[in-house]
Amino acid sequence: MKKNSRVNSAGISLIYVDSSVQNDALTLDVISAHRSAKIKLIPCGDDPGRHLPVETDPKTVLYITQSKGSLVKPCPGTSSAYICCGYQVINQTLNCPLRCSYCILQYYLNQPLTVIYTDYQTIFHDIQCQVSDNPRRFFRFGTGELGDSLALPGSRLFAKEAIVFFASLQNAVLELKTKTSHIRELLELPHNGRTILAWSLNPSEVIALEEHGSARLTARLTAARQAQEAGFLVGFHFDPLLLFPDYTDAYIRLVRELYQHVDPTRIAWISLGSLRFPPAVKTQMKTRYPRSKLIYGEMVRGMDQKMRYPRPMRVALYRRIYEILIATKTPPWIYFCMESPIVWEEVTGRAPASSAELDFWFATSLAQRFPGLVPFPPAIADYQNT
Amino acid sequence: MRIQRLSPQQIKTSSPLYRVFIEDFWIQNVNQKSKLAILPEVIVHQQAQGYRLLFGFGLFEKVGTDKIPALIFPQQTAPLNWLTELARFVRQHRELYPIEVARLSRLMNHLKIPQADADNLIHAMTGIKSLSGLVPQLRKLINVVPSIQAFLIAKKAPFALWNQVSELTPGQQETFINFVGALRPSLSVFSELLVNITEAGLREGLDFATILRRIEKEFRRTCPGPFEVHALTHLRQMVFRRRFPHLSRRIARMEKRLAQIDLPATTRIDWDPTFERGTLHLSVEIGTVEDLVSLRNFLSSTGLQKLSPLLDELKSESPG
Repeated sequence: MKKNSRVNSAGISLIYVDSSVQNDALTLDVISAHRSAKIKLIPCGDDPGRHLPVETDPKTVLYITQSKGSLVKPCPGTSSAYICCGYQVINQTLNCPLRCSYCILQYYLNQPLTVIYTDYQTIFHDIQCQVSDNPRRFFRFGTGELGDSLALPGSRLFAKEAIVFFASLQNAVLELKTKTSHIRELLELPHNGRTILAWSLNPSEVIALEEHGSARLTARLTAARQAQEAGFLVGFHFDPLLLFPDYTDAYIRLVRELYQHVDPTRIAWISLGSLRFPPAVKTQMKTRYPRSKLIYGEMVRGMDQKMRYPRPMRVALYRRIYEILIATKTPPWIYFCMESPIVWEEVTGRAPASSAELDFWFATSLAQRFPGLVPFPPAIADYQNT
Repeated sequence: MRIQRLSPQQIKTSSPLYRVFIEDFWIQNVNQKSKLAILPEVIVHQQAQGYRLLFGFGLFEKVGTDKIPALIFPQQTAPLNWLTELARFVRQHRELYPIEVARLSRLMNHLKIPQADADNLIHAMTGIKSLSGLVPQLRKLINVVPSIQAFLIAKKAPFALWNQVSELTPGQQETFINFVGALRPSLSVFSELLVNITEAGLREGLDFATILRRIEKEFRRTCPGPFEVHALTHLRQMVFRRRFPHLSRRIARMEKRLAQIDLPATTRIDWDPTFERGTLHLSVEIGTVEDLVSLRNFLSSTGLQKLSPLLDELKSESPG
């Protein structure tokens, strides 16, 4: 409970509000969710970053504003050498109050604060256009790329609106990806089966050492069970998978615990992805989390120039976890996040030829396992042409 | 400023804080001039009583009781001004070394020079924009031992490497330079060894002194010969194996298999030692018909049989 209340308050001490959004409903709700934070109204379009001292922790300052461009984009992926699943990201929140040692957001995002965009009608309009323009394609959208989907009140308020919006779409689902257990206010919403509540998972010992401020494993799994009971499909992300002494036992225990808590047949997808980060992040991780040993693992520069475990080690790690995950009567759909075709082949025995094909595989799997979710039989051509 | 001959008794040298600059370029000058019985000026700041030596420590230590010429900053000269002049004087000959920036920062702090002025001076002399963020790192840099300082200066090491070295205790630095420095590494090899030994230790839960001791012991036991270049190669391989045990085993197996293949003279096989790519690259230089014939013979006879195990070796779970 103590841990969760820390996430609830999210450590926000200062909120900048762009004057153009001061009367938005979301703005007022976010402000009331951070009662102890100091509020500063700034002129429309002013850069709040220039008012902040250099050493300010970006996780403690919120900036509520409107976006200048589209917030809905294809997942940037990494390079053509690794296959991306064709996910569409909604960047309504930039940055995250959690402090995972390995998270590149804290080193990567160039804003000196956490940004909440209030113009969700623009976001929904962009999504509506995209799905209407491609009626034969099935889309997956999600907010968990540049921040946790549910850690901040501003993200949760958006999530509530988004769940209701997606309930009316035919050819799309929304994924809310989190390391928290803040789902209570979502459970009663009319989701129409079109929202997937998803959790990033790691063994308890990793959570304690590396995922500071996040919910404990049991809290995440309990929340997942509650989500299933409320009729939501759920998803899980074994990402980043880490190599540490006795990792095999730890991940076996984790999968067993997962299947004890949730019904595998109601899992929309599970992703596997191993630790990876740009080389420059190594120095920053060393400074910020001196007790973490992750950066001292055996890592090489991958084809996208990011540091990764060597392929033979990744494959051994994936294969062990994959085998346990599929050792159930109706295994869930399992995919790799940013992996090469050779890794796919070596672990699962088959590999998508391209990112478009993987996107198509996703749709096919969902159509087969959850009748009614995908309103038409997917065709590969619809994914290759968009 | 004026020049005057001072007796050594008039000059204070007691605080090491004031010995900021390395007098390498100046010492050469001293040596040349002393052959002609001329001494270059030391630089001092006039005090209420006597003078404080600011530059020329090397000469001062040599002269004994003889009077020496000195360039004197008047008493009213503010510390920021004489520090700026001194830094400019050094920069007429070369860029400031990181250790000098660290000492300069320490002295400015000691003299209570306002942060903004200190920032401006460092920025003007080095291009470093904000000194305040660097202060903790610079404090550590002061502890780099003279033997490593000499190595890093001679090799024109960047700030980052100075910082890496300064993470070690003085005792660890001495042990490291005594062991590794004797093998005459280049700057990049020095850095590679330092990083790999440090990181292998951190991963294995060993402090730097312990892992270095173990590596040195193993090196002494297994080093094939006294030649520096071979010894250094041997050490690098040993350290790489320790830092990347799994990867180095795979690389060794691959190299062993490659060595078993008699390739035609103009043919080369390349592969990715990180194992990200599971493919072989065959490069052939064809200058004559004979080259083509030997390639055909290689591929049509035993060559293919020998390439196949190489491909297997590139798989994640190789037969081993």
